[in-house]
Amino acid sequence: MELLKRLCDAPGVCGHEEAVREILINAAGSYADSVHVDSLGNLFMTKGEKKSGPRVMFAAHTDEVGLMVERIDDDGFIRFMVLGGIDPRVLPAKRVRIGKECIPGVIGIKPIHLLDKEERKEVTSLSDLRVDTGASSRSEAERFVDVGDPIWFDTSFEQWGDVLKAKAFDDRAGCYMMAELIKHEFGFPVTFVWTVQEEVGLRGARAAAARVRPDIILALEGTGAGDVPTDKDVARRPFLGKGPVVTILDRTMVADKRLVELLCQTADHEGIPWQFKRPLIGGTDAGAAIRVKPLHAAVLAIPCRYIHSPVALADVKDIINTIELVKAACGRFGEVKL
Amino acid sequence: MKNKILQELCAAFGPTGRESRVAGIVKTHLEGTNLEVTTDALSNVIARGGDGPYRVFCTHLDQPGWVVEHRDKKGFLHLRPLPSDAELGAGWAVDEEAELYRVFREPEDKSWRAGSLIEGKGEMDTFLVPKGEFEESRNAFFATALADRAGAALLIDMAQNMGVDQSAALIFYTGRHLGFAGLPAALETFDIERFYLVEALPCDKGNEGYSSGDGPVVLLRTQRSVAPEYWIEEVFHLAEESQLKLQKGVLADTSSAADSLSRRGIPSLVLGVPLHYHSSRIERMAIADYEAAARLLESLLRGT
Repeated sequence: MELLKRLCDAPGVCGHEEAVREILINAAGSYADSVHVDSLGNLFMTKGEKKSGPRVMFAAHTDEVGLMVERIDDDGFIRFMVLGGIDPRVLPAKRVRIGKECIPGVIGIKPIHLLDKEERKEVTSLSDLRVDTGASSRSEAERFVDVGDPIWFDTSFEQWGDVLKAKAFDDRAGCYMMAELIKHEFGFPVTFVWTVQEEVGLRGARAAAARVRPDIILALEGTGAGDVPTDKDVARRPFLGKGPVVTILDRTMVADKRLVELLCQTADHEGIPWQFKRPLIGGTDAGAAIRVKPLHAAVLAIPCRYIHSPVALADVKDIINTIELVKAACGRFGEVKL
Repeated sequence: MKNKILQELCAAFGPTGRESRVAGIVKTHLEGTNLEVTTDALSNVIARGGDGPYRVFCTHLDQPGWVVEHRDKKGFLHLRPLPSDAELGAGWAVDEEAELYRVFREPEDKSWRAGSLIEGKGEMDTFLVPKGEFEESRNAFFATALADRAGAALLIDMAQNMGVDQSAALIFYTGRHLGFAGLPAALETFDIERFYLVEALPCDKGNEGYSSGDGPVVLLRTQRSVAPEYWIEEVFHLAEESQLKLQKGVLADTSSAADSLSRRGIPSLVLGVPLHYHSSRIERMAIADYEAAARLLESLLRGT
């Protein structure tokens, strides 16, 4: 999991995915027939260009949810905006890093002693939060920080048995799985695309699909696990450690029924545990791709608990099982009448 | 005589994402016409005759429904509506195999629930739609999914009356209730001269500027698009020549495929048929409006 550790620890807020891309080029580039980076920053690696059969595009996004410096107050505190879907409740009192020089900071919050009764009941709004770098004036802060600099959560990867703890499993887990899958030989032409700016509207995937023009897209993702504690008898899936997550439909697309059946049947055949994702939640690069050309789309993900927050949990077994499921399913593409 | 095609389409199972049965019916009815018919990876049905650039007539195939998200310990199914604001009401529903379910709303939080008549039926990948009904009185259709299938029936009718020398393209797209998911990809091979969206339009609020029984409607604007004035005049001129009643309308608070198209730089004109009780279990459409819309489409096909 050394590569996954490096990927998760690397900064990659939307629009600033360079560090992740460099890691991937170094780790996977030698297995590809060709490597290309487009003007948006999408990374393409192609294999088996001359093979016959459907053109398959694997997609995983390199960006993570994060923040961006909006302006610096006179007293040196940094105002920020959110890039991607972040619940403001998870931000206060979190450690962050800023910009090219990885300046440390903390998202400050008033201590409990200074809160009145009403304030204790409220969530501090985004507009009231600031990053504190220790600078005491704007000019001091500007020596290290500039407007537009990315801000990311300062979280280090850890492994506790099968359970992994890190930021950005969404979608460094997908990036990692693709870097492993590119070592595999496929019976058809494949393009691996590590996309950019997924978290701010699936932007990179649109351009990527227009370039690759695949017949099939399989997006590899980190998806929100629903197995948080509750006493209610409500939907809680997907569960951490219970296998790859298959999408039926999300907010951007309906997965191809035949591909969904292929994934489920292959998993059963191979003895790989799997689970369905709750319907109509989230969206992925596959949803952007189907708006570019008619193609068969599917999404396979690993469950991540506490997704889109400074720290999430994932399970090694889910990652390994997802890689194995993709390999096995790709071996059976010929059985599917698309 | 009953409108058999409309009846067949309204009865067909076809929630968003599971439109293949409706697509199959459309394809069957287009066989034997002068059009070349294809289906793409998203189950869009595309038919074209003659050479481009085409006058494109477009409608959708999918209907609102529910997807199962959980089975609770009592055996009840927890449902998610699609689209999320669908108000289909409690009552009977069916799955793809026509098995019956009773759909109701949880009294406490108003979320959707269903009970299957067969114990254990209904998995995570089960889609449900309201059980289809169709009635035709002397002057109106009363049906389930009329809003979603009247457009398809009109286009099939148009295709069946198309001459060999006429040039046009028809698009029956999927995923209307999921951000018009199927539409953008369906457009990719077309050289477009005019783009008409054929839809049923709600007329329950009373402030739309049009009413049921007064003929088909041309929308002046939708949420994010405005119809070009010359084009509206052109259609009204054609309607006048054909002695057809035609109304103008505005639908600024409902998303339309026209909005999605305008973002891609494709101007379109929405031609609608007024519909009462839109997106409910039983919708109502005046037969006179439907027939006038069919004649208007015929005129548009003949062209100016």
